[in-house]
Amino acid sequence: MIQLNNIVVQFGEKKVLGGITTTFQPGEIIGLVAPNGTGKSTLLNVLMNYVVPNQGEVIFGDNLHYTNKKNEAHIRSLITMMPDQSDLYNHLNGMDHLHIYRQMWSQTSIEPNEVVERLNMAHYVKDKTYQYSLGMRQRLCLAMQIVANTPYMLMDEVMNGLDPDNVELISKLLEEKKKEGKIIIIASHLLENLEKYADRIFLLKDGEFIYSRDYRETVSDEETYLKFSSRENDKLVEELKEIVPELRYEELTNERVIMNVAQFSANQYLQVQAHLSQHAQVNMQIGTLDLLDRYSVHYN
Amino acid sequence: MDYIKWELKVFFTNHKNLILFAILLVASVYYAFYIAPAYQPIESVNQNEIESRYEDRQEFLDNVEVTPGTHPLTLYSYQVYPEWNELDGERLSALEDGDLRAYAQATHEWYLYADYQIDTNRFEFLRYSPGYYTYGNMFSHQDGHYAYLYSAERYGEYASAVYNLNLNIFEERTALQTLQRLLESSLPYILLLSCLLLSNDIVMKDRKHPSIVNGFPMTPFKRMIMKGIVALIGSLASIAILLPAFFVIGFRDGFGTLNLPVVVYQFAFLNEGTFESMPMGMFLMISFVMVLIWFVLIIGLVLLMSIILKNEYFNLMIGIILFVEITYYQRGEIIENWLSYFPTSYVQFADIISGYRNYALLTGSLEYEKGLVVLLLTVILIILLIWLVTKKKRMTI
Repeated sequence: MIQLNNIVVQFGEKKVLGGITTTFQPGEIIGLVAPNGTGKSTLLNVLMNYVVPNQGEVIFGDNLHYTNKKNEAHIRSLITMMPDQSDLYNHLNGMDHLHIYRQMWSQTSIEPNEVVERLNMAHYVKDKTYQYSLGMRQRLCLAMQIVANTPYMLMDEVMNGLDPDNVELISKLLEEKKKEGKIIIIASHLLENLEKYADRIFLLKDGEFIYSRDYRETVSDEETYLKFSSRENDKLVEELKEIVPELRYEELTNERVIMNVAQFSANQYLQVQAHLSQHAQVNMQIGTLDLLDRYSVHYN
Repeated sequence: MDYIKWELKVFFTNHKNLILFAILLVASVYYAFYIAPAYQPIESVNQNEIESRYEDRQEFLDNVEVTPGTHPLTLYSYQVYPEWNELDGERLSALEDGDLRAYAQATHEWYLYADYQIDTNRFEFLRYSPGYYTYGNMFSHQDGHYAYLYSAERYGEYASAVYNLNLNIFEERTALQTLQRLLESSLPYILLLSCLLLSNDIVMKDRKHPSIVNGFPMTPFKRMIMKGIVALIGSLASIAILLPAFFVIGFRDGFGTLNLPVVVYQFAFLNEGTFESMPMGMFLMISFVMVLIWFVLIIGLVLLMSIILKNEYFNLMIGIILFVEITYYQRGEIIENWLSYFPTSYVQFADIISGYRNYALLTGSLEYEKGLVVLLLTVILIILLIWLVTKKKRMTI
């Protein structure tokens, strides 16, 4: 378990985290979603104790705090943050990197060859890392963390630079790690994918969680929206206003127009759908707001 | 241990370090092939020179007529040359017979006699070997005096040696003697500067890989100590790099033995001290211990400065401590004893072990035992400071 108690981080006048309080349980994948520069990396850095909060505390497991250097070393034997691909040692090969993580986290680590096999890295892992593509480097970084196999794993933009096959591969691997009881915290902007494997997602804005969703629970009272996107959103909205004169709608930054279906009479609802269906280039959906929509709503 | 292995791997694949090792290797092999053979000791074994001096003096002795009006210098020469020439004669005979032990014994006596006559003669027409009287050397006489008594002690030891003698040993050309000579000149600077250059980025290189290394599960102090051990191993490797050159000299001019004498001057008031010997093995062992402590001291300073100033280029300023003593140890000046409590006074440790520093600076304050204590205390202080800083300071690079 990781418990965050009223975490406040302030750099000068700027408050980056304004009192975050939450608990992460074993066997959870947590998604942290926010645009760049809004504090999600800072939160991960607080968890690693790279940034010391001005206020509040992080508690790991039963009662482990970052109180002194010895405790810090102990906590760091339980937690890893995925390395940044630009930090790899270019003159060493991938296997060297995996071995150091294996050795440094010897109490929890697993055999590097297993991970190499699992992540399809065998064909390049013995080459020096300066020869790697972005995706190869990213897979190596994840592999290092997987080799360390700590109970707590922090990942910042883990899917960056990966092709769809590898995104799928890594998503499955994360699912497996979750089943082993690990707490995996992922800061990401690849929202659609995150929604598929995260158990809980938090949207962070102005240093606070402005929205959270537990995907393991069914939300019964969520409003239903009719959503569409096209190249001529404005024109279509004007046409729809002829059907629903008092039309309430919102155009999101993802170029999707959302309309709460509760405002429509049954007849209007059918007419609106029929009208939108006439346009071949209109992408229309009916449902609750997905993560992409939430993101667009909150970060307009 | 795992972290040390990792750091060693990074250290020995670091391009800067590899280039430095390559430079050391090439320079030392060049030295062994081209510079060492050209070494010409002032106190060489020169049969022609002995013969020429012997014949000149013998001719003088054969033809001089001493009367009441004889010039005092002629009279003086008439008194001192017979014994002097007898010793030269013994040296020549020994060389002709190939009896190097007899040559060593005669040469030992020759140097003692020659030094006594030159150092004490009232007429000041006698001189030590001309090699000491070079332009700008204000201390020619003292240098000659030191060299003659040094040679006397050395040849005295050779005369009773149990190992085989040869001219290379007499002229200090064997590999071990070359090493001794280098330790007494530029080698300490080369080794200590190499240590500094090899270790100066041992902490700051992590700045290029923060997300990999900052999360390693170990205390910052332990991490610093591990890095220090790696830098020490790397610096010791710079000594190992010199081995090929040592072997080149050894196979060409002989290795010498660890029983060869290293002359040690025991200071006494007004430089009236005595010349004794210690075995080469002992001299090299003490030198190695001094180098080791110096390495630890420099690496400790690099670690300390890295965590305080966080800039590897500032670390290079540590090199200044190797040259500080030049500002206060000037030959011919009055040397304050308290200066010997500065660790910077012990950079030229081999000269301190041999006592030459005390002779040249006319002081009895520089002793290697004191140097070991001063350097060790400095190392302990630096390690304590590292411990304190790592305890108080945040250690993300």
